[in-house]
Amino acid sequence: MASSSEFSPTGRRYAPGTPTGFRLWWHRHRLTIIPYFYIAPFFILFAIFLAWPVVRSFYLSFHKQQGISTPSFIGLDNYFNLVADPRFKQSLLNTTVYALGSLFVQIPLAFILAAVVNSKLVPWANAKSFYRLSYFVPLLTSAVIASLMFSILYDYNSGLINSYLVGLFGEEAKVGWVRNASVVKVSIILLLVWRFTGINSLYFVAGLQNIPKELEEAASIDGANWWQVLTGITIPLMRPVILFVTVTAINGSYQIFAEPYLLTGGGPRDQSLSIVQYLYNTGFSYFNLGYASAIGYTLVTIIVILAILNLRFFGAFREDQ
Amino acid sequence: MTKANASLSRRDFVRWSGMAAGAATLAACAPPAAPAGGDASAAPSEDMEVVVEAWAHWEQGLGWIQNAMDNYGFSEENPHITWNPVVAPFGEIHDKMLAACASGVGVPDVMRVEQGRMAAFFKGEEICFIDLTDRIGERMDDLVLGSAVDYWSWKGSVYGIGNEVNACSLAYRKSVFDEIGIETPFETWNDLMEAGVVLKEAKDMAVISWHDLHDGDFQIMLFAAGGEMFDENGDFGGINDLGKEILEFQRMTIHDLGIAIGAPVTGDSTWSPPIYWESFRQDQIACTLGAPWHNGKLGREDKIGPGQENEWRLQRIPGGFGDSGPTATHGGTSVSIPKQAQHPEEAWQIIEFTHLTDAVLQDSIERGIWPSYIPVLDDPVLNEPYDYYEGQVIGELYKDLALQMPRIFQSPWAPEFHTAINNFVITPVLQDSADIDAAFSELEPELERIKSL
Repeated sequence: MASSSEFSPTGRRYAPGTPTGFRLWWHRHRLTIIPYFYIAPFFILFAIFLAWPVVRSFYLSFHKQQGISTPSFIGLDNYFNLVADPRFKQSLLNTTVYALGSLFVQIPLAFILAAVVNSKLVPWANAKSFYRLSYFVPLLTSAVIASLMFSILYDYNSGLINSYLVGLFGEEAKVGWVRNASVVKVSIILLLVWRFTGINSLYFVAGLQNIPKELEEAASIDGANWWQVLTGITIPLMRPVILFVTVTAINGSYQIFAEPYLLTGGGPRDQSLSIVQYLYNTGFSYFNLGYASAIGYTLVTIIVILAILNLRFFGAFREDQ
Repeated sequence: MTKANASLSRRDFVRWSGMAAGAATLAACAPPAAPAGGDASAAPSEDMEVVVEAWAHWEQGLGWIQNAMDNYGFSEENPHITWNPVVAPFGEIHDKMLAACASGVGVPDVMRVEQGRMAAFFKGEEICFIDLTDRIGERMDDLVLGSAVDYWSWKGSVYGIGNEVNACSLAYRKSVFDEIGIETPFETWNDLMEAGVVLKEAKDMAVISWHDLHDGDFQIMLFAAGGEMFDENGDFGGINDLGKEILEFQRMTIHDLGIAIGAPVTGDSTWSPPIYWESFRQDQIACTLGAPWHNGKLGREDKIGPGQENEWRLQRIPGGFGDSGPTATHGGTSVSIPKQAQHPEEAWQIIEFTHLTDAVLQDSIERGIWPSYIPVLDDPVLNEPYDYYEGQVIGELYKDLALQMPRIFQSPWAPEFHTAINNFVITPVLQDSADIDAAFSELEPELERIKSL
C-alpha cells in the first residue's frame, strides 16, 4: 500500500526520486530556513554571553547568593538593603557628581572647542584637521595609561601640578589630589574632561558643519550679533546633536569604572567610588552575587530614567511643526 | 563514486554544519565532570601523563615550584606529572578563580590565592577548596602556622598553605640615629617616639610614616600586641582598648608631635608604590614596618636601592602595647586545591613536595623569601650576612621571630571589613585627627550591616 507521503497534496503520485517525508518538507521550506542558520551564530553567542547573564542576574537580584552556595529567594531584600546602604548612596552621589561634571564642564567646553575649530579663527583646512585629530587622541589613549599619567601629575610630593603650586605659592599650597577626600572627585572630573571632551567636540563640529551658512549670514545681515546668532540659530539647530551628546555623556558617566578604579581605587573614604566599581567589588571581591545583581539593575533603572528625562527635556518626543 | 557525488553540495554542507553546531552546543551545555573532591580512587595510574594546571597572579609564584620540582628530584621520580603554570594579572586571575569555583567549569588543579582575596571563598555554606588539615597532619608542627595556614583557614580547617613566613619587623636607618646620638634598636614604641622628636628637630625627618589609606600598620601592631583583627567568628576584634591605644599612638605622632607623616602612597596602590620608596631615598623617613617582602631587603632596586648601603638595620617590632610580642604576619599567597580539580592527588603531591620539604628553599634562592617551613630555617642559604644591613644576618632574626609568630583568624567579610575600617576609622583618625571613640562607634553598626547583606 502506498504511503501518503508518496502523493502530492493534489493527490498525484510523485515521480521516482522525488523527495518524500522529511526530505520533501525540507525541500519545500529550505529557502525559508537556511537564512536562519547563517544568522544563528550571532544569536547563539548573544543568547549565551548577553541575554542569559541579563536574565540570570535579574533572577539573582531577588536571591541571596554568597560564594558558591545555592541561591535562596529573599524577594526584594537586596533592593531594600541598597536603599539603606551608605556605600551605595555615596557611590551614587559620586557618580552623579561625575555626570554633572560632564554636563556642566565637559559639554560646554566641547561646544566651545568645536565652535572655535569651526570658526574663522582657524581658517586653514589642515589646521582644522590637526585640531580634530588632536581632540581624538585622548580617547585613543587607554584608560590605564591615562590614569597612570594623571597619577604622576597628581602625586602629592613630586607631582607636576604640586611642583608648580609649591613654586608659585610655597609648601602650604600642596593639594592631596588623590589622597584628600574633599578634592578627589575634582581630580577624577579633570581626568574625565581630558579624556572625553575631545570626542564630544567632534560631534559638535559635525553638527555645526551641517548648519546652513545662509541662515547665519541672513541673521547677521538683519543685524543680529554673534550672541543672537548663537542662541537664536546655532543652538536650536544643534538640538539633536546636543541631545545625543548629553545622553551619551550622562550614560557614560553613570557607567564610569576604569578611571576612578585605576587612579584612586574608589578612595579615600569611598569619595571617588563609582556605582560600577561598587558593583564590581560586591560581585568579585566580596563574592555577593545577589546583591551585586541588585546594584546592576538599580543602575539600569537610573540610566533609563535619566535618558527619558533627557529626551523629554530636549523635546525629543515632540513632533516638529 | 562519480565526480558529482564526491563534491559537497550546499545542502549537505548546511546539513553537516547544522549537525556539528548542534553537537558542539550539546557538548557545551553538558554538566561539568563530577567534582573529584580529593578522592584518591579517581587518581590515574602512574604511567598516565598528568598535567597539573596551576593559576597565579605572578610568574615567579609558579616558576619556583617548577624549578623546585626539577632541582630537588620530584620531576625525576614522577616523570608522568608535569606542571602547567597559567599567569594573569592579580585582579583578573582572582576573578577567574571565583568564576571557575562558582560555575565548576575550567577549574585548575592548583590556585594560588592571595590572603586578601581568600575571604571571598569562605562566603556561603560551601567552600571551593579541599580541606588540607588531615593531609598536612602532624607536619603542622613544622609550619609557622600564623603565616603558613591561618589566612587560608576557616572554622578549624586549612584550605591552603603559604610558603612565606611573613614575620614583620621594623627596619630603621641606623646611621641617621647614630649621627644624632640615639641608641638603637628600639625597645619600645615610646623609645621610637622620643627618638622621633630629636630626629625631627635635628634633621627635619619623619621617624616613620603611618599608612592612612590602609589598615596594615594598625593590623601589624595589633597582632604583635596580642590583639585580633578578626576573631574566630570572623568579627572585627580591634574595637577595644588595645586597638584604641595603638591608633591613638599613631594619631599622636602625626598630629600632636609632628614626628610621623601619612605614608606617601597613591590612591590605587596604598601600601608601597614607587613614590613610597622615593621618600626614603629623599631622606624623608627613617623607619618602616613590614614583612620580609616589604622591608627584608631594602637594597633591592624596587625598594630603596643603591645609595644607603650599610645604613639600615632590622629589629623586632618594638614593645609597649598589650603583650609586646616581637612580630606579626602580614600578607602571603597560598597554594590551594579546588574540590573540582581534575588531578587533586597529583596537585597535593606537588604541594607536599614543594612546601613540606627542603625544596621550599628554591623560592628563597630565587626571590630571597624566608620559608614558613621551620626545619629549613637554619639553612645557610637563609643565614648569609646582608651587606645593605652592614652584614646583619637577618635570617637569624627572622627565625627568632618566626618561632614567636602569633596566630590569627580569617574572616569571610575581610575585604568589606577592611574597607569599612579604613573609611570609618583609619583615614579619618590619621588624616583628620578624628575622635577615635566616635570613629569606632560609627564603625560598629556598619560592620553589622555588612554581615547582614
